[in-house]
Amino acid sequence: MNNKINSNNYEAYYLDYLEGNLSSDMTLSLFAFLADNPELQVEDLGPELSDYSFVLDNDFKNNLKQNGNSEKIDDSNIEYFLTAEKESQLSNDKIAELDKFIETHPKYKLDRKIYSLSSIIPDEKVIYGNKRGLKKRETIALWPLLTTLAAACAVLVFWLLPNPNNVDDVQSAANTPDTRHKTTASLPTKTTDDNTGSAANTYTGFDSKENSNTSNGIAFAAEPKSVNSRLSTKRAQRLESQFAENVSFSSLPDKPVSAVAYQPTEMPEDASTTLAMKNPVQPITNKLSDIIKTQVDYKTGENKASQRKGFYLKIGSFEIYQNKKAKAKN
Amino acid sequence: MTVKEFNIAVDEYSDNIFRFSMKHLRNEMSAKDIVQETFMKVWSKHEEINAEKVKSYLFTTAYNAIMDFVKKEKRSYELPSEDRQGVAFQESNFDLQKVLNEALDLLPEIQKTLVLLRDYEGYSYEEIGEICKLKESQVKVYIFRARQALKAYLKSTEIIV
Repeated sequence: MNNKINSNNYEAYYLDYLEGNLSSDMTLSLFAFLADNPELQVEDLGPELSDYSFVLDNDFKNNLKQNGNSEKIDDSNIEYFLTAEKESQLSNDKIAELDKFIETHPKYKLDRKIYSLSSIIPDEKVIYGNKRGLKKRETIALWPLLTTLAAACAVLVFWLLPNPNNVDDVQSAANTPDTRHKTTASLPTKTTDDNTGSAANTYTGFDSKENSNTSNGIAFAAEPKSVNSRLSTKRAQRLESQFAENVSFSSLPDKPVSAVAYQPTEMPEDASTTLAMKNPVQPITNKLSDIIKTQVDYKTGENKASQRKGFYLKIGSFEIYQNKKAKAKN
Repeated sequence: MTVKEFNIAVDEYSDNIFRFSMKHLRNEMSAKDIVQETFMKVWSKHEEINAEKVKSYLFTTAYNAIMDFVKKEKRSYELPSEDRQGVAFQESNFDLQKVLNEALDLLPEIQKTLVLLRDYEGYSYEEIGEICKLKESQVKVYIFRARQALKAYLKSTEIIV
């Protein structure tokens, strides 16, 4: 309160009050001042004021005082101190003083007890039932992950797509150690693309019972020879003849050009060591490794001396490589 | 305040806001509307709100929403005084909290609000002042008056001897 109301300025404050320009704080102060100075002829200033008795109770005055708790406890202010005790506004000394006062004035014991019991306790049974409706869902930005995956897939597709002009590219398969003795790739069904006139190689699936180590240059070398030897010769010949109908064998190399196998510890010598292999998409594979928490590696290379080239892809325990003879340049 | 912190605030304070609203409006649907509106408003500013002060924001928003609601509806939520006294004096199986709540309903709206914030949530005078836009001294005066009114009501019913 910046301006203290006194006998010299109270009329101005009163006029402000009548005009409705006095704040609630200042109104309280004005009334307190007038109550403390009943000799002032305020009723002459206006009819409204005469309606007030100008008798403020001691509690009200104590609340206005800056250090009301320091007053001595008596009958006139006992209510204030009992309330202050309930509101934990009293010091230990004042509480002790209050104890002594109530001992000598037992009629206030009941009041003190009532004050102590007058806290409003929330009803815990009253609960808001639709908390779920108030909650917000956390959103996860998927686009960086999807973008990375899409980029990685695009690179893989680019390198893995068979070249329609080169049957050497028709190769790919992987077997896990647990299944390699059971699962082998069947011969691909060769179809002719009428639009391009070139051969398009398509795998129709895997035949779990059959394997082939044919002389047409396409092989699925994951199978040990012992398994291959168990193949029915008749069956192998039939498959070979089916394949021969669709493939121009004159365009195929003399030797098997593909070897796909599960190599848990090391990649074949031809694919990884003899070729100078490099990872052309190192940032992408690193990022992919971080995202899927699995080692991802991809390498390509070409050995000009031996005219061999290929790629190597590793995703966790899954490995696939391609090692082929490069096209002879005219 | 993050989404997670907001959702934690929902778990921790929605019941409190609901009870606070129910005490004022005594209408479940209206109280739920206040809770909904309160959390929506706080969410709209969640990026500016410090999670540590979200409770204060919630109660300030709820208080304002209640006041707006009361003004808008132009309804008096006080029961007729003769009914309340009738209930109080006919109380055979005395339930202190029930009588106290009846006494609470007799208080002016602002006193009722302050007592609820004080007793339900344990706010200090300063915090209550921030929520209700009152000075600390005004909060103290209102609460003292409310306490004395509650005490007078309890004493008049002679339920505590």
